[in-house]
Amino acid sequence: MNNLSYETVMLEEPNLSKPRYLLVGLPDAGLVGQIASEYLIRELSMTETAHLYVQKLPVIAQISNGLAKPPIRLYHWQNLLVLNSWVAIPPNSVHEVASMVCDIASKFDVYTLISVTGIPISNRLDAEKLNVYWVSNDEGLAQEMGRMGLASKFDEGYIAGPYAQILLESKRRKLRNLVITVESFLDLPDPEASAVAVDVISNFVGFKISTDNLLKEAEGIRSRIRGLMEETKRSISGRTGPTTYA
Amino acid sequence: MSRLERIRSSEAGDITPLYTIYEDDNSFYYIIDIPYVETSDVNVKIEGNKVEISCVNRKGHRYKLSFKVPPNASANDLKMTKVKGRLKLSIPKKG
Repeated sequence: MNNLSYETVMLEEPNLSKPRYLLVGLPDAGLVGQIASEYLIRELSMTETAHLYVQKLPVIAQISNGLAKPPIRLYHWQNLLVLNSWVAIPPNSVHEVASMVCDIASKFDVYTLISVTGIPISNRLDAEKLNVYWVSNDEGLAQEMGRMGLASKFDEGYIAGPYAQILLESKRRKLRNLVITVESFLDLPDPEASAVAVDVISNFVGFKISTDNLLKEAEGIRSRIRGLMEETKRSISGRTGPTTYA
Repeated sequence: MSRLERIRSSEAGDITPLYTIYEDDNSFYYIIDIPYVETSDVNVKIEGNKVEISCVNRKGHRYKLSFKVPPNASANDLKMTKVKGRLKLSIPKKG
């Protein structure tokens, strides 16, 4: 472990085309980012690139086909890296995880970091359409998003938790960070909101993907991901500040 | 939200479903996430201000959730619907 108490174990050196993007799917409101990143990994048949070991996080080994893996892993496909976490990030690990994310972005010469999360709305179930917003830490990126018209600007409000720290740490390091936030449940898994996020991400990065399977498998995802949502809810309620809101 | 939350732990073997609560001027709403279930599979027991929901979903998983509604909620007038794959309990406010 280095002085930041995390370690990266590379499984494969990726040959990435440019411009490179790093999508970050951490458990947060509605598990919007986590479900979206998991879906992209599966649908794009992304290659497992690295395992991340973070000392302060709760000890969870994810078992797949009888094989234990750390819950935070990095994948790649063409010019896209995806960092996916199956463990909630407690408030005392937020700085560490944000540093780790920025280190990865620097290591792979990433052009834009993309964070995906939910913005909780109380009447989520009755919403006809889920609104999607963007936040940026870079003037050029903000202008780009304004021109592309993929989402509305998140005018004023708060972003809390790991995504807030990634936004600030990446700004400090002069890395571009785009946050995509979709109206969602706070404490129920929300695959439908993730589908909206996947549409925006694919259009922004420039690849085609259907979200039909995500919507079709929504019940199965909600059933599978229940434990992570419970754990994430505890992490969110342990924060000193608010969660993301406009 | 914690004001409304009086959820008891379920008996061993039952899964406590994820749920969330909100309210408007007229009602309290409990959104309960039980995948693979229809409203016709769900038993609702109301005793005073206590509501108990139990069911077995299409995958054979048993779910149980019990909670006390706020004093100004009329539990006996509870209505259950399935909206976008989730159970929605609407409990009107009294008077």
